Amino acid sequence: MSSEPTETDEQQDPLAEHEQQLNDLLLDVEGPDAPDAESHLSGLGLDVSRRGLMKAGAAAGAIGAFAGCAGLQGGGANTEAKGGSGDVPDHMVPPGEHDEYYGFWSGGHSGEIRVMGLPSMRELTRIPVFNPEPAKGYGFDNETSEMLDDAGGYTWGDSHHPNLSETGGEYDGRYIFVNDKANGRVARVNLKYFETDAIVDIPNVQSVHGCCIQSPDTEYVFANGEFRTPLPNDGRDVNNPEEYVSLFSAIDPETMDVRWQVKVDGNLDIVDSDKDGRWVLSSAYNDEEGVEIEEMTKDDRDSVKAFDVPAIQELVDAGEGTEVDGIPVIDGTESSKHNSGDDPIVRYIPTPKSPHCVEVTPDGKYGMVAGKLSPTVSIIDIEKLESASDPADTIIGQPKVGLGPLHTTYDGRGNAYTSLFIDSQVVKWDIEAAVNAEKGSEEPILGKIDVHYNPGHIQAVQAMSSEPTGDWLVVLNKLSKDRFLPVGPIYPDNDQLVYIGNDKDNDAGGMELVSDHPVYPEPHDAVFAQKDKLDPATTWEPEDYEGEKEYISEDASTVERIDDSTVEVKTSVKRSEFGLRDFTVQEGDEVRLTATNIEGSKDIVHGMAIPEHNVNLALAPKDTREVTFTADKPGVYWIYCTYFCSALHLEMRSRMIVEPED
Amino acid sequence: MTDELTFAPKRIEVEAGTTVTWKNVGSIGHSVTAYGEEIPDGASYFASGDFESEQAASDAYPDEGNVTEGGSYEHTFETKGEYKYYCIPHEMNGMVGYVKVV
Repeated sequence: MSSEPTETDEQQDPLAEHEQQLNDLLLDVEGPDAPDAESHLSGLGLDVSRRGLMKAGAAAGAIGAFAGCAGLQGGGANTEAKGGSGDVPDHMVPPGEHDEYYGFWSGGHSGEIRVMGLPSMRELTRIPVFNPEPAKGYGFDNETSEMLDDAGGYTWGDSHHPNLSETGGEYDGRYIFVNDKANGRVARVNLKYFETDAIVDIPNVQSVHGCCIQSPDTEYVFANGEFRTPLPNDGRDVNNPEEYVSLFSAIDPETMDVRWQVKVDGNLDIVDSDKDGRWVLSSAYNDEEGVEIEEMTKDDRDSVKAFDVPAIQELVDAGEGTEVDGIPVIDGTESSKHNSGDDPIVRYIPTPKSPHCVEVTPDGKYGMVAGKLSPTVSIIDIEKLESASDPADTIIGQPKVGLGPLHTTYDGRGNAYTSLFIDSQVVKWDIEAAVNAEKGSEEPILGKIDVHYNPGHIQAVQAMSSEPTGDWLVVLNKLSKDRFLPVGPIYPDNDQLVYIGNDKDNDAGGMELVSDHPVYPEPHDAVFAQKDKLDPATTWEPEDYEGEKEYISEDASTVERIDDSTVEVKTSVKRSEFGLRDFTVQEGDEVRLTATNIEGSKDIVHGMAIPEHNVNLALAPKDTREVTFTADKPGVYWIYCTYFCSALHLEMRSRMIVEPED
Repeated sequence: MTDELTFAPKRIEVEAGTTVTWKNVGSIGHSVTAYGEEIPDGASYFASGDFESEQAASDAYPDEGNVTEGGSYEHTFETKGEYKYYCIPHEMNGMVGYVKVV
């Protein structure tokens, strides 16, 4: 073990380096005449800057939990949970009672969607999307394994941005759409069954970052291609980065086919739609089109892209696209002929470099682009996108909110909430005050609270629809550091629940931190809907798969040899019996197994596992699943139920008898 | 007979000579199988599949005696007294019933 003085040296070095990075960054983004951008911890009762506090703490050897270049020590009087102050509703939901909201989290590396209740933050279920998952048998039956195979056959995805479908600007409870950053895909989750029912592997695109639906009626799903590659990426131009492009893709939400793509300059990042079905805004970086970080951040400005969707659709309909891998691609680069006239199809709006995210206000008036490297949020006036002769004029406000602004959300009362990654805070600010204030003003700020630590996405309830309800806010912190029992060197993230229903004239603007929740890394974003927006099925309705799969009743349980090497096995499943007590096949046979859970009672789920054959079906009541496998090892195999279904669950068996070849 | 694994009602009282019908109103199959030791002396044995004894009913299940979705079974009770019966696949889940013939 190292001696104490050495540890202190080690702590100071990265801290000093981090300080220097911050100073360089601010100088770089704002110029030498930039006003002081440090935020202040007024809650300490002293006018102490965060960075000053951090330095002092380090000098005293007080920062034990310093972790990584972005880490900052939490502290200050406004960091503690204040759930007991009397005017914050209880976030604990009593036993047997339900939450008010559904929350849908992207699972990050797991490729799944996680469903939680708000405000309790209890995990209700998980929906596998890009990942095979045994409990729901996803990727084990023929239908879902073929869907995963057709979507590229990858065994993981990096899900980032879940989006609820809308009708009339309101969540309609039909679908969630979510992207896979790792493999350039978008999936659709059916909210009747909470099951992924389609995945599109987007042609010509390697990585999808931003993903959103078109408001108000989900006529398209949009996907931002982040990584620039040659078009098509088939080996041509690999050493000519100037030929690499990013593509913006429009997907049909019903067929999940890609309708068209738009080629743009720079890398596309996050995306959001206006509320009228016309403009879609994308944050972007690397307008320099560099391939190394120094090149990507060389210039002072990057351009947000505003896509005029009906105008693009018109060009596609007129056959103006160049077909690549079956998809019409429209040239939307800044120098394109489609952008040279008075009605460009893509407006390039310059913002301070490398901004992150766009979130449109629930009333559809503004798109907020957080500065990331700049301590500001740029407010884009959506109405001006059509009329402004200079796209820069569409930015009608630019409040200075704090260090590392990444994402913004809304309460429906005219307030915005922005996560501050570097400051480890949430800042609440007044939208109209920011529009009316000088650019760079801190006046619109209503309050700040510390969060733990380094927040990324931030979402208030129903803020992505036109019906924000403004009581709860979730902050998805990237680091948890000292907040939980240590569990080895890969830490959980920390999702924090904040009550925002009170607008108070205090340091926190009325925001109150209510609870911490460790999360398995790494969800990126979440979206929330009031419970009555959804109406999930409690059992399957067999007519929903009529003609695709055969419903196997008890009387229809049979074994039939189709040919020399193929056997069809059909079985019903109920408490506590499989419709077939046993079935016999020959070594080497292909077995086509169809199983129906004939139960009519909700929550009576059966499983059907066959040891040593990788067969694992999850059968909800009235559901039917098919699986095809080869019985290549002679012997007796005990088929068992994997869901505890009754007192005789353990005895619920069937036998597969595989007779040896002669 | 229901998907909640019950005979509903669980206890009935009928007059001698009454024909009782059990209808499966759920999705999953059940049996109506009298306990051989728990019917009145001299009463005729009853079970779906029309078996002569509890052992015969048990041996034949599930190929016979399983009353599937929408199906029914009936029996006419002539002898007075108390009868107890069960569903073979769901006995351990408490699916038993009583007929009192007066």
